[in-house]
Amino acid sequence: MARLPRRRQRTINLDVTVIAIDSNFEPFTKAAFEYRQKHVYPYLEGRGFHVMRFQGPLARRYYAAPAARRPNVDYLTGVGHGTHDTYTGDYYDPIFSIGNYNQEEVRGKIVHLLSCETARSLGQDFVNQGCLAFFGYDENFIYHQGDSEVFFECDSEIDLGFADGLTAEQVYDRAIAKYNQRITEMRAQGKLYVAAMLEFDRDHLRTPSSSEMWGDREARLDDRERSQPKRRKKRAGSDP
Amino acid sequence: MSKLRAKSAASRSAAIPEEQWELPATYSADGTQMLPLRELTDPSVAALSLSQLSPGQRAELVARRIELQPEFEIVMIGAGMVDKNRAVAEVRAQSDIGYILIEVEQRVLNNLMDEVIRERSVQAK
Repeated sequence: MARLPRRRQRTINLDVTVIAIDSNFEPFTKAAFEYRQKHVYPYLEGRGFHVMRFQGPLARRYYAAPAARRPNVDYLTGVGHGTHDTYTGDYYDPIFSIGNYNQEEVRGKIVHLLSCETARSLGQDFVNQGCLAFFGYDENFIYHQGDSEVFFECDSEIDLGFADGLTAEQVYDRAIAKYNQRITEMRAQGKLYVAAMLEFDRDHLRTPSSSEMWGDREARLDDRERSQPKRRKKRAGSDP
Repeated sequence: MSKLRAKSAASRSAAIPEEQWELPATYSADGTQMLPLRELTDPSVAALSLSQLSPGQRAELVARRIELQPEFEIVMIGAGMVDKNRAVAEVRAQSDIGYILIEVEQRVLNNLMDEVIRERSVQAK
């Protein structure tokens, strides 16, 4: 009697690493950092991502850049001061600056920076160097101190969306939906300035949905079939 | 309160805070004086629309609106805390920060006008 071929199932666990580069050396980035510590990174870890944190005094290029070059890093995120061509860390240490970073730090990765202006030039330069998708702002990111968590919540939808396996376009849609929801709520509460500030941030968010200058709308974090069983093609005569 | 004023107050939108009606919202048609939202939304008053304002008029209007508010603060991750005095100075200087403040203020004005139009269309039905 012929032996039936046995099916084997193999599971490949590829450790997907997120690099978090967060400033917290003054009150305005510290507020965002604290929100992300509480709401963003636990969510990413809960979705199975390994989060390497370069925060506070560790948010410096000589720590973060070698980590970003590691082959299993798929996602870079953080809050910090920025200009059109530079993202900075602790005490304005330039982490990524046009002409002063290695292509390997962004190639094949998705990047989200809660920072001012970096979408203008740096984000586009990342994409030109092989970054899959860039999410950031082309103006100052503004917020109202009394309602700061609402602003950080809207921006954090980007990290949460990627953690949930959405494409860049779906992540953008989800973030905009959150912005719109909060804008409507603020208007209803008579907080016209808070609503207008949220509108400002929403409309200055640049992503692949704005233009291919910021990458591929279809980019997503689970392209590498993370933790999914590898399936063999069904062969005639094999078990169903 | 006179009958006319009472009627006017009742027709105002509840979504628009009372103080907003008295803040400057545009210039008179001859460009010589600022007009409050109350007059901008009055069809019998000749006023410049927001799109007709020169950059200088727009900056001065925004600076005056900020000055007249009881509280004003905005945080920019790039520039830190911008309080009322700094905001007025930045707007009048038409600096980069000033332009951000002008854009935010214009959004407030646009939303106020949208709300007035929406309320009027509801009342007309």
